[in-house]
Amino acid sequence: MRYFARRFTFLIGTLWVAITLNFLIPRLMPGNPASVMMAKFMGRGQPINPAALHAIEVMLGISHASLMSQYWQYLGQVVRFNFGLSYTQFPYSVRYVIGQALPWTLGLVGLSTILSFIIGTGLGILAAWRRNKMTDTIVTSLSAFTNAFPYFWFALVAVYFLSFIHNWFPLTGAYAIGTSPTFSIGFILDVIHHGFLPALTIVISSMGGWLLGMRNNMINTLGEDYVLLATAKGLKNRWVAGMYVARNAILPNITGFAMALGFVVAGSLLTEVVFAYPGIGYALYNAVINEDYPLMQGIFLIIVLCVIVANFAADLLYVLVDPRVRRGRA
Amino acid sequence: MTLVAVQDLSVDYGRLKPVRAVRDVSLTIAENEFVGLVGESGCGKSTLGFAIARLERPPARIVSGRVVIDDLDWTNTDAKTLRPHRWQDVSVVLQSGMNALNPVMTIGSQFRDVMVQHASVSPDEVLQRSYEVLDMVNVSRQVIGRYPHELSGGMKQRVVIAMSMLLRPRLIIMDEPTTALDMVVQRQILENLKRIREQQSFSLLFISHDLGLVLELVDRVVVMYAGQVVEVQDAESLLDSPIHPYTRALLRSLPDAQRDGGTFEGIPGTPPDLREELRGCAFAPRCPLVQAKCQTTSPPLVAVGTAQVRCLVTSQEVPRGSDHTVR
Amino acid sequence: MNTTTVQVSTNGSVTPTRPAWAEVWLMIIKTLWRNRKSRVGLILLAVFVFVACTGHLLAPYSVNDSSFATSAGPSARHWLGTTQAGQDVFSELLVGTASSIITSFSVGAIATILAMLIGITSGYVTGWLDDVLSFITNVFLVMPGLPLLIVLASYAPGKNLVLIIFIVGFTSWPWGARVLRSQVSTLRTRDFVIAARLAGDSSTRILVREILPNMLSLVIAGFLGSALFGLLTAVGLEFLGLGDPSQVSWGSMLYWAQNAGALMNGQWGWILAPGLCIAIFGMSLVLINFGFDEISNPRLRGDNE
Repeated sequence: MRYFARRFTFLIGTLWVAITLNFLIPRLMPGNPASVMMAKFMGRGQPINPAALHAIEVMLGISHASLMSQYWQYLGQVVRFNFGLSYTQFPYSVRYVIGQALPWTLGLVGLSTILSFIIGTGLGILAAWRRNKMTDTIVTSLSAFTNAFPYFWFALVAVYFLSFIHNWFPLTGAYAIGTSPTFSIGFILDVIHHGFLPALTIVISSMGGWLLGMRNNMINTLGEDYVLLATAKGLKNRWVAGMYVARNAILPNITGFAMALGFVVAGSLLTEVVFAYPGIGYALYNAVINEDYPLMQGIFLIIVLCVIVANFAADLLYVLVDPRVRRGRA
Repeated sequence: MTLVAVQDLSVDYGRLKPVRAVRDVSLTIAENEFVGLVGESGCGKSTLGFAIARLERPPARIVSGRVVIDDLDWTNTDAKTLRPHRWQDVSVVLQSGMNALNPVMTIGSQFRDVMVQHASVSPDEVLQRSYEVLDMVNVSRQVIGRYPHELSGGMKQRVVIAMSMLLRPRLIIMDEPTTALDMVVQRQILENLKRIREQQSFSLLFISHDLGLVLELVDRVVVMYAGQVVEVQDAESLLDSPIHPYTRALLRSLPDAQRDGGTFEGIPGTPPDLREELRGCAFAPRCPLVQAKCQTTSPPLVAVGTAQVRCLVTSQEVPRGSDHTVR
Repeated sequence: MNTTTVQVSTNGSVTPTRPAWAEVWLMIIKTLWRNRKSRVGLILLAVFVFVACTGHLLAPYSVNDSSFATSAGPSARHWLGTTQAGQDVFSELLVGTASSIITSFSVGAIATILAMLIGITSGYVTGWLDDVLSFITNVFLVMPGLPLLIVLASYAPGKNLVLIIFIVGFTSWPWGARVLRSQVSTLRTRDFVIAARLAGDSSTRILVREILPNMLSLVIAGFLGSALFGLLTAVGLEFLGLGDPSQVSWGSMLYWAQNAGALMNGQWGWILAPGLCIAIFGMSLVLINFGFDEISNPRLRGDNE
């Protein structure tokens, strides 16, 4: 229970830091964002219309009250998921835009992250078990390579060869143009068809990290006394590899999930851009190129929220797999 | 009846400039015999123990010699054929019981996996035998459902000893099984082992740097220095009449010796560099009885009474007793 | 119970002693060169650094020369084709190497310095300061970097390379800080550090003379890791148009290529080449890091290497 409480406190703490950063960044940057935006709108050198400026300030939620009272007001709004109005998709609220995009991202990025974690960890186990053999050398070198390329670039290349040249997969989007989301078999198949390539590129780009991490952990664990004793006990190789080595080696990899998740999510956001996938990443991209600040900030918070909730889930999973942490329950 | 025969076994660490940690060691362990293997740390005793059980880890590797256990040559048998013999014929207890148990499995399941993978046994039989061995080491039967981190160091080590008894092995190799434990627990474990011996027949190779402890438990003592066996003698006679100067020094350094008017003595100097070829007697630089010939001639292991000794000086002394048979 | 005097190990070196700086460097270089993977990494890195230094001389054309046919595919004259503005892509690739590598290494340097300041402080002190620094480290470890950077970069006035370097650098330190913290807190209780403290050495002196040499390999490994992270993040930002598009770099090349629909025009060289360069440069860092893993963790050393 103490472990749980500590992790939960950390979750809240992280969220608070993110919200505060989100509040401070626009206010601490030189210049008033509203006038910056006005200047961009009107073209440089033109006089700023005070009424318009005020309108933008209201829209952005900028007031001239004291920083502290603004902060309280802001916290209250954030807690109610009220991020103001999007400004490119006026009159829709930021919450609405995010609500439209989030399920796609959770499906695509969530599934591919879990898949890449499972495949990468599995291959890491294999590489360590066949250490310094052919399989190991190939798998490890390939991961050093895939680990270092930008997700979006690999996505571009995959789109070019598999969609553009060979036409095996659709070029963009999450479903065929002209259809609208329904819960029919045909539509679901269409979604899978559209999602396959983005998912594949995310899995391949992010797998290397899990793989190399797991391989290192495995090799460390192979040096433990209990593994030597397992061999002495005459246990079957597979059982030793699974229950004695991998079962212990996976623990730091689950902790490593926390560290790597942010990076994987960031990469996946750019993948969405390449595929024009109607998720959070693509929405963020559109917000950036259109300078839709409220949307950008709302999306930032939602991403942080998702990542730390996923982290919290990993912490809970950790309790299930490591009896040493579980003890606190008693 | 000889159970274990080690013949001219040598073990190296590394390949380029190897450290020869075990040098042409031959020794036998009879059925139901307790043998103690003693020496300073780094003398190769643990390396030898692991090599006998074919658990040597890279960069360690056996370069020559044979280990025959119950007529099976363990040095020339592939891992697959060896697997069923492990734990059934030879079980081991490692130095630190702390890390010898898998932290994510309960004690019960670590007992179970070894039993079910060696024979088809019912869950009842597994539980029955688990209780038996736990009783032997005086540990509560409740630990079956516990995880290793929930046990104290002494408990863990006793659980590990219990685990080594599970399949009623012919030989148990214990590598410094009590080193990390305090005196009281050490005593208890020693008493446990003596008692278990009355209930179940098995041979024991007890590896320790502590000659005093070893003498209390075993029938015969093998003393190692710089990778070589320097003396083999029955425990009883060794205490009264150690032959090799190194064994004598070891005995003198025991706290017990002080009681007899002796003063606590260490052995000055350090063991030789095992990367080099040994010239003369390995112990010569530290030996109080050293003579000129010791620097140039490598002493062979020769029979002195019932004992075997590797020393040019003391093996020439007047033989004691009348028994000249060599084991 | 323990006859302590008879416990001397065979190699005679039981307590770790303070290694001299020169020795540490020599050991690191030797180990890296002996390891097959990190040797390949070092060679690749040397090639990239060479191109970065001489790119503008090696380039067949000036990057400012936009007199060629626009949006052409690869040909004998233009190995990787031309941009939609009529510049030679291959020349851009060579010239852009410098700014990409500078970005990568500068981010690595900033992140490493911050990681050292925060990680070493929080490892060396105990109590509230350690708690606070650890909390901050963990928070930023979990915080997804790119979205935060996007928000930061979009609010930042003007777009230039230095700014990108700084904001990426300031968000990529936590991983290194965490690793260094745990290393320092183990080293702090070692005999030779305690001895130095008893001898009355100042904390700074102990850190520089006793502790730092013992974690040099971790520091460099952290630098390489941050450099890779920095490059990938900067490339991501540039791809989104948040960098300085007028600065020729691998990232801005991808931005322009994507904007010009390069792939759909069959200009695969324009997209493929910068990405491959990023991947191979990054791989060289990962490969060198394999060697560092083995320095700081002997278990990873293979028997046959």
